Amino acid sequence: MNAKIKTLTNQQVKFLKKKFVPLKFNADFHLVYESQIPNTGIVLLDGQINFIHKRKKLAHVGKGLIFGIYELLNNIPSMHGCLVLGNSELIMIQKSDILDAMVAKNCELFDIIKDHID
Amino acid sequence: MKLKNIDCEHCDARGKGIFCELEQLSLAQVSERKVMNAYKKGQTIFFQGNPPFGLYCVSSGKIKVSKIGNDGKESIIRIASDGDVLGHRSLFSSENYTATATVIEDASICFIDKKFIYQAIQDEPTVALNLIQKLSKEMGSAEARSASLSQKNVRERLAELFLMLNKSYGVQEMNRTKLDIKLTREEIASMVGTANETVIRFISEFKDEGLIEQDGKTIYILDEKKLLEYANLNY
Repeated sequence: MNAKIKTLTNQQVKFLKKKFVPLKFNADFHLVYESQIPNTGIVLLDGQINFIHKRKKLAHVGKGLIFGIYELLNNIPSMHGCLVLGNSELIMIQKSDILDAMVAKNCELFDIIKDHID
Repeated sequence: MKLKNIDCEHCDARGKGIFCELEQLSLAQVSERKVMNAYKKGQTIFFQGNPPFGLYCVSSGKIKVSKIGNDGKESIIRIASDGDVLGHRSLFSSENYTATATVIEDASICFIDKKFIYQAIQDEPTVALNLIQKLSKEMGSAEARSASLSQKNVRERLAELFLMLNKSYGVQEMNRTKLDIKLTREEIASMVGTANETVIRFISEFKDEGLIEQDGKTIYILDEKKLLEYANLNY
């Protein structure tokens, strides 16, 4: 699995929860299908995400995961599908927020995402 | 399915979307912020019950927007194609999606995040006006459909559906019009609000009466005037 994934610290998660409104997903949904660019970066607060390749589940990940920012910023198609299971709670870090953080640079959001930029 | 990232200026749906009247510089900003993806038939854009976090612009392809009832039955609300937007109603009303969007013909769709959409609406009046126009048309269609369901019989509703599809997807051939959209019997039944068997029966009747003909899943309109009579449309 070669997706750029990282687990955040509790402090980082706490910061993101203050900055963004967490979203509760009731139904399973594909954040991204294979060979697609993620629409947003995500941070998993609760629940589970399955990474899928050729319809087979490769791995599942839990709380604190951050994913999709590198692919989103660089327009790189994800090699894996990403299925968010129902009853998961996510923070969506949108492209606009990422681009604004890259301009501002001296902000906590930039510190969190800078490892995913390139 | 790989897709070359096309900027807004060279989009297949140029002139039909909500951003199309923007100046070059503003359009370039949209191109920078959007995420364009290819979706295959059967893939889902968003699910009923989930929260929205942006808006989808259809560059090409066809998407059905449907509601699933408690009994698991699907009701197709509308079909979106190039230039249409998806997910806007839930985004602006801050509600979870009340329908599911599923691709019925391979599509190219651009996602634009919520923050940028709200900024664009504030900064560019044309974006807001285009959204209002689309919402108004959709509301009108929904009202007409609601009235049809209560006032018209199945034959009339089916004729009305074929006329609506003709208007949106009709391609003129020699002495007939091809409906450039492939719908299953179940999908047609869902849009008309009846059972599959009833749709099959009425399609056979329409064929026998020379109103339509069929080649596989493709339907051709032969006699639009007669369909108009059958649809019993009031203007």
